[in-house]
Amino acid sequence: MFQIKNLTKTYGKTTVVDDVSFTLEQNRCIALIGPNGAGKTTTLRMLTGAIKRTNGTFIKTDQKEADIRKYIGYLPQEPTFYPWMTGIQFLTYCANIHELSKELAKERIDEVLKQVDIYDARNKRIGAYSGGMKQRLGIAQAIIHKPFLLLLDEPVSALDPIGRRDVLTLMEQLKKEMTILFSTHILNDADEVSDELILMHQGKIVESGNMATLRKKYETAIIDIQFTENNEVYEQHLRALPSVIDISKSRSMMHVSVTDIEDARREILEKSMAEHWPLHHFAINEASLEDMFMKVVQSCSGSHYLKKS
Amino acid sequence: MQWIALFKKELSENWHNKKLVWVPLVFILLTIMDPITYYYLPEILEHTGGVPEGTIFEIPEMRAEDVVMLSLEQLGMFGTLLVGFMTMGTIAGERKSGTMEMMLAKPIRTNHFITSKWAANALLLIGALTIGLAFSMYYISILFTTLNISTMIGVIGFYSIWLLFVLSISIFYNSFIRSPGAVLGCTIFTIMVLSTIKTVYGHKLTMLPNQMANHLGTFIEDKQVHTELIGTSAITLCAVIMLVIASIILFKRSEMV
Repeated sequence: MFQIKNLTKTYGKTTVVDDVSFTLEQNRCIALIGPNGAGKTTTLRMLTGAIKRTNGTFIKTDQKEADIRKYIGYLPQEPTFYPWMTGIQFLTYCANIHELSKELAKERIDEVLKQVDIYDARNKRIGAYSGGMKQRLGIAQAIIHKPFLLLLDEPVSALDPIGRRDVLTLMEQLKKEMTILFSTHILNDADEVSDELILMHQGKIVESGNMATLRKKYETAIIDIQFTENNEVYEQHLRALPSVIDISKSRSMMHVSVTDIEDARREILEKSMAEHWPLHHFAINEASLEDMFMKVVQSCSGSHYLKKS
Repeated sequence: MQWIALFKKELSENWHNKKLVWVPLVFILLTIMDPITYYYLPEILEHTGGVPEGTIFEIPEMRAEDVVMLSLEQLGMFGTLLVGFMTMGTIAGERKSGTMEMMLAKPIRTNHFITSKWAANALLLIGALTIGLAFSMYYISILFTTLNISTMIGVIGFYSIWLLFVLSISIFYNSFIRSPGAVLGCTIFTIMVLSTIKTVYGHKLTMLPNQMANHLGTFIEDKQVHTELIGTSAITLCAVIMLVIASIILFKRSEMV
């Protein structure tokens, strides 16, 4: 388990990261989300030591080893490599820096090359790699020593849809072996692979917790309903139900605000069975990450930064 | 093992960016230029023309010892610049390009990082100096008189110390400055300040690192290692060690991005 306490970074009078504390449990995938400039990259950089902390500690709770870099792997936002090296040369270099034994290094290099799927390009110069391949090589160098914690800064933001899918799948696999902390401003990515969320805004953690718990917390009592025909007619029927408060529409989808999800579901489904309503779509509207994000960010600062367009 | 890996990477990088080729070439060029121009000076003057007929030039008889000194003077000026150019991006460049942010998230020990870069550049410089002076010695022995080998080895040895000093100044600035250009500027500025100090207080401060060439002149002349040469070498080596230690400390405190 890793523990981050009171992490702070100030440049002169500007505070970029403000007293951030959290713990990282084993084999969890944690997404650090927030708008651009929230302090995500600075936080990750302080954990690797690339940026000096103004204040705060970062420890692995069950280890006394001074150099915590031994336990972490890191992929920066825009990884740059030595273009003249081949993939395999670069990974050998990294393995030697970690002082893996010759046999272990060979074994691990083969393993990670296959794991990130650049085995066929291993003897090509990195300068000739595509963006997606570089990103995967970046992950390979970060996991060569089997770290306990993998830090990824915006690992998928710059990739095309295929590259993005590959990296997300890879993260899904790696999650079984190590803790992953990754930053992103793309909420869908966080939604897909993470178990936990840490929401940062203006250098502070404004919300954090288990994905399911957060969903529950920000759940809105809304049911999405669509009929195959005569939407207007049935809208009137719906409005007549006691648990329905209001209905807003987007295209032919009705977003029905209700007093209580359970009551409303029973009422609506009973009615539609009895009166043969041509129900086409019926879904409890789970709070999407985006809604949650907007709510938290706006409530904590009245920010005009991200308004739904 | 980690140090070896870092050192090997520096060496192969020097190969891939062709420093292993052009640095020795420039050294050769600098050191053989003077022996050759001096040898052909009468012909050159004759061919450039514009000299009234009957003019007689008194060109002093050059001995091998004098020509070696001329080569070293060339190195003193352009060699220093060359060291600056060669090493200005060795750390600053990695900081700027972003490779350092990724590599220094690995458990690289700071002293390994600095000394491996220092050693790889030192090896290249001493190698290039040796090759350069070997060429110069070859031409001198053909065109003038032969110098004895032990003197040349002495010259290479003592002059290397001066080059290591310039290298260490560059590494020092590299350890905390982000921009390679600024590193070069600071290195040259420092050398210039030192040379001004030498001009003004040179008669008292006889063991300044940049007095090395002067003492080498005496050494070449009478083949004796004087206390001043030893003293200058010792002081310069101390300065080198202090600069490297300072680089390690400053690098530790600096940010990687």
